[in-house]
Amino acid sequence: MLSKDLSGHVGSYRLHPLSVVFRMSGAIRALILPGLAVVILARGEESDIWLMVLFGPAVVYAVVRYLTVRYELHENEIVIRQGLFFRSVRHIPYHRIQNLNLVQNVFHRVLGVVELRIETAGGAEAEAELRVLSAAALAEIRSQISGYKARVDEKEESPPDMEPEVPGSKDEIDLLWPPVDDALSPRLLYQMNAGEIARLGLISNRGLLMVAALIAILTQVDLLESSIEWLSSVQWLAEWITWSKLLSVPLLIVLAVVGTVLLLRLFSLVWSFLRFHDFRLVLVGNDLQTHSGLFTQQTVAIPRHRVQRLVIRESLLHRWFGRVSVKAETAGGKAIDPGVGSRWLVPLAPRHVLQSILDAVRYDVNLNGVDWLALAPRASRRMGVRYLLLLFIVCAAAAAISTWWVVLTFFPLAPLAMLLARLDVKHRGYALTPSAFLVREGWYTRKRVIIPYSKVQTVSLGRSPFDRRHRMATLRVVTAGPTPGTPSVHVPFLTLSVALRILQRLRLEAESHELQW
Amino acid sequence: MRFVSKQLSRAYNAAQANESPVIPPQKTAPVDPNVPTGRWTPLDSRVITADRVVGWIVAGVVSSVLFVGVGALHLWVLLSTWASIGITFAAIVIALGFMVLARAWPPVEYRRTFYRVDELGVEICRGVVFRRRIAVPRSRLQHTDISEGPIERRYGLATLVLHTAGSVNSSISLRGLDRGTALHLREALSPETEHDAV
Repeated sequence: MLSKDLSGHVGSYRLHPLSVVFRMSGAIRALILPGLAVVILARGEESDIWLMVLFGPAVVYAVVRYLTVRYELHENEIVIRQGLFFRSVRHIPYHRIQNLNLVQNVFHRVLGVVELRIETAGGAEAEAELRVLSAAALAEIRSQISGYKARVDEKEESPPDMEPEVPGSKDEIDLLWPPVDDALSPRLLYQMNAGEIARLGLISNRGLLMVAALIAILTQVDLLESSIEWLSSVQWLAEWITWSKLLSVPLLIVLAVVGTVLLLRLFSLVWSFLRFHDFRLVLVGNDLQTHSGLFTQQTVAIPRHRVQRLVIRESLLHRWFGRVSVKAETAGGKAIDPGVGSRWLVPLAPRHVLQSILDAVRYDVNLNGVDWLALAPRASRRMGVRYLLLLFIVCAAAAAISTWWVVLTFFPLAPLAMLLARLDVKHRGYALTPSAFLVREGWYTRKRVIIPYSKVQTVSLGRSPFDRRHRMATLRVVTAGPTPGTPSVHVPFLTLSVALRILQRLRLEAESHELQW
Repeated sequence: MRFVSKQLSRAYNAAQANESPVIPPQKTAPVDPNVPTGRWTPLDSRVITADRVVGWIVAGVVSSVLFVGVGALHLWVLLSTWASIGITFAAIVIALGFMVLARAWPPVEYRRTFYRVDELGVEICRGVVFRRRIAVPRSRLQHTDISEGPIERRYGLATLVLHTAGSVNSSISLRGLDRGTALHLREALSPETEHDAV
């Protein structure tokens, strides 16, 4: 499959020949509507020529691209050359590679190829995309990179990074990425069964997303209007409406609301099965790999020392079901699936799985033994003022668009705002463990962020004039993030003397825990 | 307040008891007589003059634009006497405001800006209304730059830019250092090993 030309001992490779087809399919998807228009408008005779004019450049482009893109696997870097007139050469040292992401949709799978995205810490975009590669070529790239890692590890004489093998787990896992080295036996950390995926669908409200997608598709093909027309013209609907007048209006509204909610949850279920079918979290050597998807399968590999911080979320629904969701934030590379937003280590798992995940990431944090510390004693008063201000702005805005006395709703709502502020402060907190800084917040969706000291980049204290009056400060802990400007973790309303001590402690810990990329 | 501190100190002690090294002993602060270690140091006082010069330039540009604008308004638009007086007065007030700020702000800012370097890294305190204290651990510095603008150069000043890999605050610039001090600071802060790879 590989076309290798011998320039020295370094292999220079082309993409898989099928990449022409996949490159073209992208263009065809974009041109499908104009194409249809051409076929309809030209009516036969000349449509062939017009189609060629339309699709010809795309075909030529795809072929030229296939012929010009080459990658070379050097001892410690991968070099990607591309371009016909404007040639570009991109050097990506192996040690800079944050993660390798694989995407395999149905067509890819049938044809036995994959799309590979190489991500580094640099920008928001993937550093390089190789579409598409054969499985053999992928294995070659992987072995080259892991070979490099092994050499570096040997040089640094670090203890071998092996996890105890779980007997039997090896046979159950057929990975998209077969482990190159036999010593790197994969360890299954967590697998979602159908019940768990269904639960995920029920808990995470992704239904609206599906509805939005559906509406977008419908409007695209002008189906929405016609379907509405169709619905209103249908006899049974009209009859049903007259019949329903017998029922009370409130009941009808309740029915509509319940129906919508159920429908949304149903959509959410569908989304969940599409996205997370057969979800597995596997530890292979030093990589955490997630593998999921019904039609489009995704494999994301995150070297565990590249996880900058872990975010654990529990909404009220999560807590009812006794479940948690865990996301890992890495440096570099956009989240591969914009619909999902970030890298799930585990989209949904029973609570007891949490600790084994923390252990796998080597966070050395015992979540049950964390000693959470509260904000300053007067924090809830200040938060209350903030909530009241917000409420007042909302009320004033509501009054501005309706009548002035609407602003009076502020008074009955004020106690509620104060209560929420109290709850907010009560559920905020931080903790300093021997290996990590922990922050928690949120009373509805409880969020816990774990930042190992080795990932802390900068620490800062901010003091607004109000903070100064109350002798308080806001603590910010910055780590490397997926994109510049990713919000840092912050703890507001800390007593100044406490905040200063935390700052010094964090400086100390950051300096004594060496940064590992 | 006491309660929180107590809690913290408890966590502190607990952490220290079952925890490994507090400060890595092999890492000692580089000895450089020109870099004061551990003390809060103000910027070079020449920064006041330099900032005033910048302030005057800004004030000059702003007020000339304003007055040209007011003049043009008088030429092209027929204004009532009161409107004319009002507009001219507003322009004068704004221009004067810029001039007052140009003169008065730099010393205020100077009095609120300090830095210190110790074995753990750099700390910078700054801000007049919103005060901030930023700590950059020594090992988190990716690299450091020194930049000099034309006005800074005229007064023998330089800006030290500290680069980290953080998603925010990824470059922190410390303006108004003596040029020599900036160079020494950069020396003192430059990482000894280069094996930190992104």
